[in-house]
Amino acid sequence: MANIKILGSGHWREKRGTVNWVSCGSCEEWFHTNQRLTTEVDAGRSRFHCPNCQTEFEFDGAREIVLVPNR
Amino acid sequence: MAAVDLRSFLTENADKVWQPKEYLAVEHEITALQYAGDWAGSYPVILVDNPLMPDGSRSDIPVLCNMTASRELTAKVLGLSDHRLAGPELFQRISGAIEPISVKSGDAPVQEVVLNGTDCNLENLPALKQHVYDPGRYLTAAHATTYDPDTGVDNTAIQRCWIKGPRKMTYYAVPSSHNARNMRKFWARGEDCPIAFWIGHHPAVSIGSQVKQDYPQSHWSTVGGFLSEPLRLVPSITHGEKIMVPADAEIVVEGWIPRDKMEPDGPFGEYHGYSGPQVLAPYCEVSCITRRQEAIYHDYGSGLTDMLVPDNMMMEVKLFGMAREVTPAVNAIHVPVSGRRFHAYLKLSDPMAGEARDVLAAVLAYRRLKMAVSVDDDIDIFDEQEINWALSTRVQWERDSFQLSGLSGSTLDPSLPSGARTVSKIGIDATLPQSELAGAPKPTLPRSVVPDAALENAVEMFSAAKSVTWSEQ
Repeated sequence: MANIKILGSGHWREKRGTVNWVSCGSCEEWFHTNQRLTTEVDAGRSRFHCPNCQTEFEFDGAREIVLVPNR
Repeated sequence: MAAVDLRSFLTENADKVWQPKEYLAVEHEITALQYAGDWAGSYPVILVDNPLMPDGSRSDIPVLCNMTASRELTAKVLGLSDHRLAGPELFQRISGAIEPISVKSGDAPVQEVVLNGTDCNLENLPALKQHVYDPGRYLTAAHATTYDPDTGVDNTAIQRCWIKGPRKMTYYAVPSSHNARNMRKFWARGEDCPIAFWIGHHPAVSIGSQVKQDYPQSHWSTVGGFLSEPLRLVPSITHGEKIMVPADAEIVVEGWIPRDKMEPDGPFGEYHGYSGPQVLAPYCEVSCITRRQEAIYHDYGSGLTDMLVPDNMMMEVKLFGMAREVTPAVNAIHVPVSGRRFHAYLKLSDPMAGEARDVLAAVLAYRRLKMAVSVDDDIDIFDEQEINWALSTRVQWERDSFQLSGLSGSTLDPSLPSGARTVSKIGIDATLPQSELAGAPKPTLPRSVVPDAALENAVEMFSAAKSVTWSEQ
């Protein structure tokens, strides 16, 4: 099971994150994904592709996921 | 100990000095050289022998200009480790002020020659007419020195003077300047204002005297801190110990500002790159000129890097102090020549929430500033392409900028509506969102990079292969 962390959304005037980060379950390297891909992977309709070790994996195959909420 | 003066600067930096062989006129031709240098991005110190005077004669007083056009040379002569650290390093040095010492006239090179009466003639100085709309020749590196009649504390600042006759010149000091305050105090007492102008000294003395200080506060001890030794002063001939002048300067002009008398001054090519309008200004009735036997006349190119570099460096010192009052996250400041005196870039390391805007609000209180931008420490604030990259990729304008109106500003700002006394200002937070989770990447896009080893190799290859025929743009 991926360790999922959701960042706070904060006040609209405060700068917050702009992109999600995923740590690969195989090589543990981090890469960044946009909201749509993250949603599709979460729904089981697509898979992440680690740019470092080329492993494809589903949401649960991630070591860690840092999610930036939509505002 | 060898004297620290203009000559020691020229000797120690002889390889940076260009002495054109051609005869050049004090009207426009010397200033044109500075423009050519600025456009070429090349900043030699320029020393012109026997300049051609308006009456066709040759002056035996050489003209020195572009003394401080190079940031790197200016930083070197100030003893800085890096020109990019002018703000923090000079801010520290201000606290190490060294009191000046007084010497007798016989030990003061600047009083080797004392000119009174008809020998005292401003028109004999090789002052320049710099720009097309200027009405005549101006002293542009004249450090006007007055004192507060309430406390006796002196003040010195560079202010322009248009030579109108042998013993008369206008004297333009913006109303908010400390010299103008002193002058108004004398006038309020029904007295003329005593004044002396010193010209030509080691850059550390000229620049140290431009540190933005409280009122009333003498600049001499700050200059001592910049020099790491006491500045040598001598009583002026006209005003005695009430107005001391640097003993190792090149030229001093002494006189009085008559009470409540004003005359037209300008138009004048200003620091902002436009010709400022003709204004009413006080004038100086000159009582005496003193100088070295073989004096060198110093000119600052108004609106050129020569004048902007030292002035902007001193703004960096002032702004650094203001910014550090609100957060230790700020570690460098750049007031770029491109923004004249209106813009500042602030570099922050790991600011806490809100601090990137706190520093913007703090520095925008400084009168001259119109725009301040805060960036992260991955941005080189001395590279305007990097600043523009941060602005274009890290800013949502509604969220990350704020405007303030009705603040004091430069009355010389060419964008001000006629009659306006206050300005509007903008602060822009071009930092990235902060990290929120230890061990996780910042929740932003990472920079596109290539591996360091590949880049180093590529730079070497490129440098070796570079051809003069390749396009520059």
